[in-house]
Amino acid sequence: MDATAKPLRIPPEMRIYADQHGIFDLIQAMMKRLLMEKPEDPIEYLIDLLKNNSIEVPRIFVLGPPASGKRTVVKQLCKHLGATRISTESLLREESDLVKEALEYKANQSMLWINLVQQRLSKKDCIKRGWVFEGFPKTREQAFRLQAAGIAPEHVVLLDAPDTVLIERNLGKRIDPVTGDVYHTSFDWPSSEHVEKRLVEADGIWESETVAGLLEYQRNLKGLESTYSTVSRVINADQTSIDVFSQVLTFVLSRHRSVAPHTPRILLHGPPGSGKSLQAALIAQKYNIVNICCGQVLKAVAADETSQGELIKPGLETGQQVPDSTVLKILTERLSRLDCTTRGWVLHGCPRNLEQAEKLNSAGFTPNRVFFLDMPDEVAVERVTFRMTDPVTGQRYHSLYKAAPSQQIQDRLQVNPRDSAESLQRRLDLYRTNLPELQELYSDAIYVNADQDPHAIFELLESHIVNRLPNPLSHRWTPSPSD
Amino acid sequence: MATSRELDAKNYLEKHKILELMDNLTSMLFFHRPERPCEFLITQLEKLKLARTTSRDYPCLFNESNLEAIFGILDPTRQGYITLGQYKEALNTIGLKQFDAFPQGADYNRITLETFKKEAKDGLLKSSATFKS
Repeated sequence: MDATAKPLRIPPEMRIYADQHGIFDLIQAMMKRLLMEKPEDPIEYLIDLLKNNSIEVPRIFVLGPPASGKRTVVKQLCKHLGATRISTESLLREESDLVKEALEYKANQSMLWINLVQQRLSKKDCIKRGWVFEGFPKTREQAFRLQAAGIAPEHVVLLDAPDTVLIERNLGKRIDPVTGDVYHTSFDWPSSEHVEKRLVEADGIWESETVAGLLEYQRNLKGLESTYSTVSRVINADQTSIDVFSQVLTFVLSRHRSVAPHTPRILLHGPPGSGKSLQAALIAQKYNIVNICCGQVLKAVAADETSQGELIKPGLETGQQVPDSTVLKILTERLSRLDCTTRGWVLHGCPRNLEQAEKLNSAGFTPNRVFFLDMPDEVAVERVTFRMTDPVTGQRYHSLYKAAPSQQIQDRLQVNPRDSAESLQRRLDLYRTNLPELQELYSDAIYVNADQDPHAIFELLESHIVNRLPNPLSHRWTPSPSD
Repeated sequence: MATSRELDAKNYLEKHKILELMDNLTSMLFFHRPERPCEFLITQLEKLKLARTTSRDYPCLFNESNLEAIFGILDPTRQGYITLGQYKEALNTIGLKQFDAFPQGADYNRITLETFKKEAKDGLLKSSATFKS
């Protein structure tokens, strides 16, 4: 960028709007589709794409060695996300010319498979609802051909378990011939007697066959892993099916990192002593955003000899709460300055209650990441009441965690009257009364356990700030009776 | 060395004026800031489709009163004309890259409101016609 060019001033409303609706990613997805399909009439194509609302549908491959539980995971995913389930058997059961050709050949002709897959995935239900594909592609060659045909998954789940577990599991595999569900003699026995009677031993469950299947899978695994390295995750299949499914679901709902320009607007909320100022300072330093501590902003304004300063000085001195409207006015003025709108901000100490929070939102400063730092009251008391400051150097000490080095320093340490037991209790009570309303307002906030090592908390906060928020399942397509 | 697929993609983008289309759509989105961006985009695209067949009423951010206002800013003393340099700068600011550098009145450096409006409208028409011509 040319250093002599004037920096581009984008009005803050546009930034907020773009962030809220994900405009960058929408336009990027549209461009991607256009370049992949290259339709003759792009305008008509874009109209269809937007009408179908099919930009963020699930497109998932579930791969894994034999007996890793793919069928179970896929069925649960489809139920949860409303996506279409596809497997190699279901492809062959379709009535079409390509299928007849494939059956005639009876060999694993890759090109035929790819054509079949392409035909199936271009049907209306796959485009609208998304798809979950079980057990395909099996080799790197198939994966490449799929890519060349324009079929790229959003997420690839690689189930993994030690060989011995898999061999043992496979021996107990039973199939219900009517529904195609997979059951197991020890782990997953059907609940009704009806189904129990129908169960048939699956073919290919003896040890030798499982071993052959495993070898085949391992041979192809490296290639598949490297092809899908950016979109895949390995999930341990040696757990209960509920655990496996919950991990798979979190992964599938997460969105990949995007290059959209993003200004962080972070709100840290927690009881006194939860480490808000510390975390805010760490975040502000690492990501070069503005650290706004409400108390300090107010003190700065009070120190200025302005009319506003005169208004709040008595409030600050007596220790009472300054009226909401003045606080909001000062805060919004600080937040609308150029450095905050361009670099982003991390706010702590405010808002304290529902009215302040609502006023902040209506002023146009909705945070895009909200963190609630949870901590039991006893820990807060312990952390705060032993805080002391050295009036000479300004260093802060703590009797338990960071004691003063010498007796001389210890003698002159002073305690902030705000940190005394009674005022702390008052602050805690105030916090607890206001908490439920704020939790309701910020319904998509992230809860963090503040009773941990500060660097662990920092890493957790970082991961939520840098990664995109997970995909809400709000626009699931429900099947109509005609399907 | 660009592969043939890359060249294909580049040709496709240029032929159908995709980048200009995306630029226009994004500017419309940020200017109007609708509550439901997908529906707004559908409306704009339908309008563009209609304009393509009827050759009129292209969706555009600027209308005639905007052009008159710009002229008014450049000519505060109400002489009735602006210089060639001002004319070029103004059309660049609107975002037009291709316009007639020597319109009527360029030789004696006096561009009237009518010429300015005509050139601006022509340029805006060309930049909004983001489809294969």
